[in-house]
Amino acid sequence: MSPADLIAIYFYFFAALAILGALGVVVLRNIFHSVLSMIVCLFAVAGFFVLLNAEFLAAVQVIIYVGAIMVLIIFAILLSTRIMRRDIVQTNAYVLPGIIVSLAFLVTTFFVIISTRFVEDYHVPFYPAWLAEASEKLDNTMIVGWSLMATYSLPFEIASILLLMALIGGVVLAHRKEDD
Amino acid sequence: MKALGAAPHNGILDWLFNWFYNLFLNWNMSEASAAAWASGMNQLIAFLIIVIFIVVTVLFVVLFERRVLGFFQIRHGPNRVGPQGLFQTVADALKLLQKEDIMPLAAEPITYNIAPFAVFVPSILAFVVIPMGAAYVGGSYNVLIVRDLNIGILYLLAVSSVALIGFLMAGWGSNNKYALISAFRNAAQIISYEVPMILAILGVVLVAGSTSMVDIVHSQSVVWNIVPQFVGFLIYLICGLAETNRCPFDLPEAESELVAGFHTEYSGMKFALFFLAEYTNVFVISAIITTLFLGGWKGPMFLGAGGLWLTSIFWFLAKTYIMVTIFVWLRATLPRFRVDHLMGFAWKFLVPVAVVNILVIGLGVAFSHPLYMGSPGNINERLTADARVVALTQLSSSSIYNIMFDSEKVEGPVRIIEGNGTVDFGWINTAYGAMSDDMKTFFWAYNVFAFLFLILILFTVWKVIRGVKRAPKLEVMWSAVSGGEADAKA
Repeated sequence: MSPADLIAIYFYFFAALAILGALGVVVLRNIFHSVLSMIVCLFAVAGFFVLLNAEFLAAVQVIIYVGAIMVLIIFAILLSTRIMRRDIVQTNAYVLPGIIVSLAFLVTTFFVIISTRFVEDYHVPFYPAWLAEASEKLDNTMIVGWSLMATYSLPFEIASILLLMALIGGVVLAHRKEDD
Repeated sequence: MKALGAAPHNGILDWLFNWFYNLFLNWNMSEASAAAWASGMNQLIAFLIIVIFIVVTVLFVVLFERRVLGFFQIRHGPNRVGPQGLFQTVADALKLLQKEDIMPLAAEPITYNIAPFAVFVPSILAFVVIPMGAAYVGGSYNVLIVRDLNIGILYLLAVSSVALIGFLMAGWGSNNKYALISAFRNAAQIISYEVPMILAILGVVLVAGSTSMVDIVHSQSVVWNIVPQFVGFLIYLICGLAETNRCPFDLPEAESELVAGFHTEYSGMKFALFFLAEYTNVFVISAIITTLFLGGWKGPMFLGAGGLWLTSIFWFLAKTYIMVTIFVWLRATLPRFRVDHLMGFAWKFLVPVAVVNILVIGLGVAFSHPLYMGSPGNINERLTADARVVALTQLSSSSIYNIMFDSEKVEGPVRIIEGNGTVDFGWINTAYGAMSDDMKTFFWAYNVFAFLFLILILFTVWKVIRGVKRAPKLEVMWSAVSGGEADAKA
């Protein structure tokens, strides 16, 4: 068994897991079960990142999506006791339009994928020369750091200012005025 | 021949791999299948070693805690089963294995049954990246670690965040209000304390310049991180206590309010899995503190190069068990927090302190303070940043460590020629005598500032612990101020 075979096996495993998880989110009647299957789906995506040698992204995917966002979603679900322990119908009058829209999206994505030319040796000339030379052996975290801090420092800073604004906005919204 | 799809050179496992590989080649296997089988055997052996190590460790930690608690409470603790009660937890475990597995009628079967595993598996996974020692195997320097992932510490954070889902599943699945409230408390607590914890880890990563656990240990070969980053150490210790639900942060398991918390409805082996997970986490957090702040396996290697593996494992375990003792000590000493105090402490005290801590460390790193040199070498010298990166990329990691630790001290730039290329190591002299006058001014200003910061933090921690009379409440002061405004408006 060659490494390529192994990678293929892992890929199909994660792909099946991701699709099953995503289906579970839509199909399962109990909303808590839906959340759990969404976690499975996100894990499978983290597995794809590992297969692509993007360990940093995989770790961040698990930390942020599973560790923070999904936990917040679970909080929201568990706190609304009306839907907490009940099988609810996940469909309504918009079943048919929903199916049509998602099918259209699927077809579009399919055509986009088959018409894309995938470049095998995509070399990014953003690093200093010696770093680009060494990037074969350099670990992924370091490359992400270099890209964020050197090449894309402006978008990075803008994103952090945006996050800071959201943070302050959250504090202002949550702040209760005593007089009102 | 190099392993197919092999991981970077590290750990004793590579040596093991080669041994199996050659064995299988001698059995007339083809090269590819020999490599596949050797890596399979490798993983099997690593898995067995880890599982045996975890089971023995947890059994011992439980006994250790009970004996130490007994010491603190002036009683004997378990001492009947075996010499000094050594087999007490073995007997307990056997008892738990035989117990009937009861599931409440109202429980949600799937979630209820998966939850113990979702809690226990992440605590085993954490052992993958914890470096437990170093050894010379076949003449080359190896680190005793399963896999030296380059995202080491991030991997640990990711893994620990998964256990939280398991707690929520247990709380929801058992359909019990105590379990659910406990799961809520647990989630709120872990999410809140993860923020200052990550900020404290960032300080260590800043100094080491890497997220790999092995690199973090090597960055402390001159001075352990606990000295220049004592505040970070305190923050991490507190957050570690909160993360493992240990006293004084054991609100999710508060017996007086919540029966037993999220594992109220569990019995038999499933309860044992929660129990195992808790004590595994205690050991893991202690091991992480050892790795991040106490220099990992480093210490006086009194048995020389041949006995390096023994002394390094000895130092690792000694430091880890000192941390476990501190955990037990805190449990024996401090009462439980109140919920609102808990949240306020994390968000209003720990987070700001952690941010200032990063600022202090960042300044030290940026201006080459000798305590924050972060690369292996002499206290008065550090490798230039470029040399470190080039060394990491051009040479195999074992040869870098051989150069940095084993060869006699070399003066001036060093040139190393390996198969992959040539690397010049530049050294910066960081000795006090070699500093410029500006640098000296900065050095002293920085030291005074960092010292004052430390004193301030220690004073506040002391005040929190001792409950010294507080300053007037903020609301009172605020109403005194804003009352005047209200009058003016009226």
